[in-house]
Amino acid sequence: MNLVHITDRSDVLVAQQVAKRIAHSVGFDRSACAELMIVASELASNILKYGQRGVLRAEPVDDAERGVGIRIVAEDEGPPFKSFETALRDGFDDEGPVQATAFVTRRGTASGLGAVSRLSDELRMLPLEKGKAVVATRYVTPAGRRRSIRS
Amino acid sequence: MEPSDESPSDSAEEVYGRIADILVALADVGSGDYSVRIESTFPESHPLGALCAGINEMIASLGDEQERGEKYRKELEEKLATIERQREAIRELSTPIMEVWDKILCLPIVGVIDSLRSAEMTEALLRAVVSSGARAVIIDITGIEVMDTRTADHFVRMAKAVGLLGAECVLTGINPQIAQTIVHMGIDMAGVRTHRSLRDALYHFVRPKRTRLQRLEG
Ligand SMILES: Nc1ncnc2c1ncn2[C@@H]1O[C@H](COP(=O)(O)OP(=O)(O)OP(=O)(O)O)[C@@H](O)[C@H]1O
Ligand SMILES: [Mg+2]
Repeated sequence: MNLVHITDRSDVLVAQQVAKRIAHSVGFDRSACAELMIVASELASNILKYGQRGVLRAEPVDDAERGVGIRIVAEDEGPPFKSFETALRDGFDDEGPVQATAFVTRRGTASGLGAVSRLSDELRMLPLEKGKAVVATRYVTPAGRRRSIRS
Repeated sequence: MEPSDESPSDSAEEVYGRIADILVALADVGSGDYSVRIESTFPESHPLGALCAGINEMIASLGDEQERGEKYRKELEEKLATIERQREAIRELSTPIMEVWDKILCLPIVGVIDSLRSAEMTEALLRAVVSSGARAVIIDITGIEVMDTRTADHFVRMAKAVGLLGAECVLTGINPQIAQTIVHMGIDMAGVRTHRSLRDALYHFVRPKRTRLQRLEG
């Protein structure tokens, strides 16, 4: 199954496994698979935190120009982003910078979507009839930049 | 044919009596007792007898159904409890904090680190430091496959927070890539001790201290 309903912390781990399986089947190397697990994980945990209820899906893509890759889709029924662009920045929520004192209570450093955009080639947000979808796409052919610390 | 002595008559009294029996039985069923059966003195060939037999059959099958439903509900509850336990286990596995030596905690980090997990780890670790009165913490990151650049920063902050609680914090297993990132990102490592391996760190903490006398003599 390539779809996970996100209702519990443990579902975030299931989402990671789904992303890993699809990424591996498409031909991503080991490190890239692990990076895509981070992508799935961040999107899934955002569903848990802000989306109320939703699903995470991973599917292979085959683009005429970019070749094969993976698309990770997070759909949820929660409120819309006030500003998606702002939310992508490290240390920012969807309105603006997060106060340092708030990091303890809000459980997170507001860098999840920053990581998602660093670790994928395309990142888009689409409003849905009910809620929205965040779609991250990455292609096997390297985009020519270093994405994360690899061991 | 004359009705015999045992055979009940169709008198209104007799009929009302049966109907009262039926109503009582149905009330019992309504309150959850499926063991009741109506004792009919009429043969099944008689409409009232047939009605009573039919109702008895209905009560019996309702009882069976109820029992099956109950069993199913129990199974379901057990399964849900199992899932809850497994979820609990998964949550715990994501922050395995061990006391590897007296007042020395170790947090070996394995697998995928995302922002949620690093937040959870910080919270769990700081709580463990306080509750165990730890004097030192070893955070071993050998088992991390990849991490986002921001996460490196997070680990250093976690180490500093442990330091603020009065415990010494050591980072071990930093690989060359992570080391480079730390330098490139300009992360301030002041006050964060590192060791090459978990083994080195453990040795640092648990090796027998030289006694005062030995030191004076040496
Ligand atoms: N699914 C979502 N629905 C609504 N708002 C969201 C959703 N995901 C993220 N956001 C908003 O975008 C902001 C940035 O998200 P991001 O994942 O980068 O940070 P975070 O979840 O707050 O913290 P972290 O991911 O570091 O634990 C969030 O603070 C929140 O305001
Ligand atoms: Mg997040």
